[in-house]
Amino acid sequence: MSDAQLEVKQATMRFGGLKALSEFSLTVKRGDLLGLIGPNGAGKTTAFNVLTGVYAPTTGDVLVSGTRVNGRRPHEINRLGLARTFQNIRLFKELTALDNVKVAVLANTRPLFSRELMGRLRRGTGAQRAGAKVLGALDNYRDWWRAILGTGGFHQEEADVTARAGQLLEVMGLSARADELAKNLPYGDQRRLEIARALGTNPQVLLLDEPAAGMNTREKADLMVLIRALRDKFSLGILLIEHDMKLVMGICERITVLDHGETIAVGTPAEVRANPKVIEAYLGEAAHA
Amino acid sequence: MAGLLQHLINGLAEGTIYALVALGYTMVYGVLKLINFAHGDVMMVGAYVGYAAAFVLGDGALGSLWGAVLVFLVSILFCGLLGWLVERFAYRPLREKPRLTALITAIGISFTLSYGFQLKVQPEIAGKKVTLLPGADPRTFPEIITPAEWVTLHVPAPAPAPDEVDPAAPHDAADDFVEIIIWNWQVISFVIALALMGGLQVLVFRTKFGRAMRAVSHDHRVAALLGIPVDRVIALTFMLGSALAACAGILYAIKDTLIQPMLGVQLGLKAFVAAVIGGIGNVQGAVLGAVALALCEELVVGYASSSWRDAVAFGFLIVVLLLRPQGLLGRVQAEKV
Repeated sequence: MSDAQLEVKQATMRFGGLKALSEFSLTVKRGDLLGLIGPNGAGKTTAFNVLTGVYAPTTGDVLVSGTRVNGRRPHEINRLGLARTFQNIRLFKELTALDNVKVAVLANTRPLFSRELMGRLRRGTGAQRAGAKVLGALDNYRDWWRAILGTGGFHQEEADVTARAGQLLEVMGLSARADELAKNLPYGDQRRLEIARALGTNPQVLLLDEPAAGMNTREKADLMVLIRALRDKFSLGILLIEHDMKLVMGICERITVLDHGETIAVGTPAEVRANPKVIEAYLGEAAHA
Repeated sequence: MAGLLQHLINGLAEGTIYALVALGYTMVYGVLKLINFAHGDVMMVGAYVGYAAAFVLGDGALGSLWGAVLVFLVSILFCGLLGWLVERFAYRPLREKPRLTALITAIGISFTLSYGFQLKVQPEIAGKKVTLLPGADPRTFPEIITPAEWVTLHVPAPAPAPDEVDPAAPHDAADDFVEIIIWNWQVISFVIALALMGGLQVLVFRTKFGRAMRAVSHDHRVAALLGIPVDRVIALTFMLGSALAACAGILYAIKDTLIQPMLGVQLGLKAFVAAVIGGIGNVQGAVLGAVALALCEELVVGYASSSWRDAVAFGFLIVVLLLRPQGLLGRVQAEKV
């Protein structure tokens, strides 16, 4: 198995006659910090939606942790280790900051039976596959019988989940805001809370969709430091979409540039900056604007 | 005084049945923002399945505990399956379509069930007449709980006005007291309904499924991207609501003894009103709204006239919506302008 956590091979996404994304390829390994840039409408968010299972690619393959995920549902892809944030913030507005993270942590609590065992059974004979289904169902509803029979474990799990969510808030510098409703948080905090929530699903790869949008210069500088720290602390692969050139050039090791769905350049920040196609795409846009 | 007590008891018994149905409306609304108008009819189907189960079990099972448990279980399983089928094949394909599409579909399913059950389909299978659809005539629900007076309270009767008393008549000791009867089935259905509501409360607030359900109700697309199996959560919500409706159907049939295919339309509408009064989408609100509505109706029937019953029920809805548009326990949704 390669060490690529996320691999995209020639993914194309068509909406009717429109090619929103054309033969997009990308590999994210553990510890990578990559950027995806391009003018408005270049297909960046479409790329994220293809990766996370919101859309199934028309052609091409997406592999998460070595598993082909085309057409799989978003929650399955998430459980394989891919999490994201949103360009337009999509927190659970009526929940507190802490509860927002707890939702994500809970959906991914440790299974009763090891993933390895379940995987082996699922690949096995008919009887073993049936056994895997029974064990899976037991696992899915264990907290039902636990809750109804009143057996222990609920408070323990609740405490574990709260502690984990609390840690993530602390990492993102939001501890003081834990009990505030998400909708009442300042804009920059909401962006960071989205990252904390995505981390709650325990991902291998994190996709950040314009994490600095709407932040001031100071907040952006802090965010750059924070993103690097996250990469190191959780040994994540990070792919980010960003409009702010300074931020992207400052922290990304490699950058992919999209324009009209086509990949027009891939390389280090210096290479990309000097690429005539990139300059044209951006200047062209500026000239129209 | 005595009359009031009797009305309160009857209202509470009725209210718990409304509550079981209202919970189904409120849960489905919570996760999908869909008013599942077919829900009342699922309750009607539950009553008929209970009827069929009691019929198959035969007279020997009537009045026995295992007989009653089996009747409930068969009905719960059947309605759970029906709820799943309705969600899977009627609502899921429309989930990303405009909300009105699903609403019209819900009304369509309601009609399909309530009018479908008015057909009489009785093919002969292996020389035996088997009833598949019951027809429009009301049927008497078998007594799966043998009715008995659980307690009979004797409350002193108010003294009659002196000019109404005929001095010549001998004094009858029975006139000094008014009887208040609490039937065993009233107690049993009250306890069953409370236990089911308690169980639901535990599921919604103390399990991963419950949290997932609440996350889906906030934003199901984001919930999916956080690893929550949205389709499964929604299917389970329908199955749970339908199972509660099945129980409500049987409890209603025990109380009213007559069942007919339009039963779900009337009771379903009342339960929907109860859910809105309590604040739709809110689990405790549904129970509170249901009990308040039933008490209100019972008092109108007792002290005014039963013809006013429905008018007052909907009047109550209008008053609540005027004073608290979000319902008794609902939260205000701030509109951004």
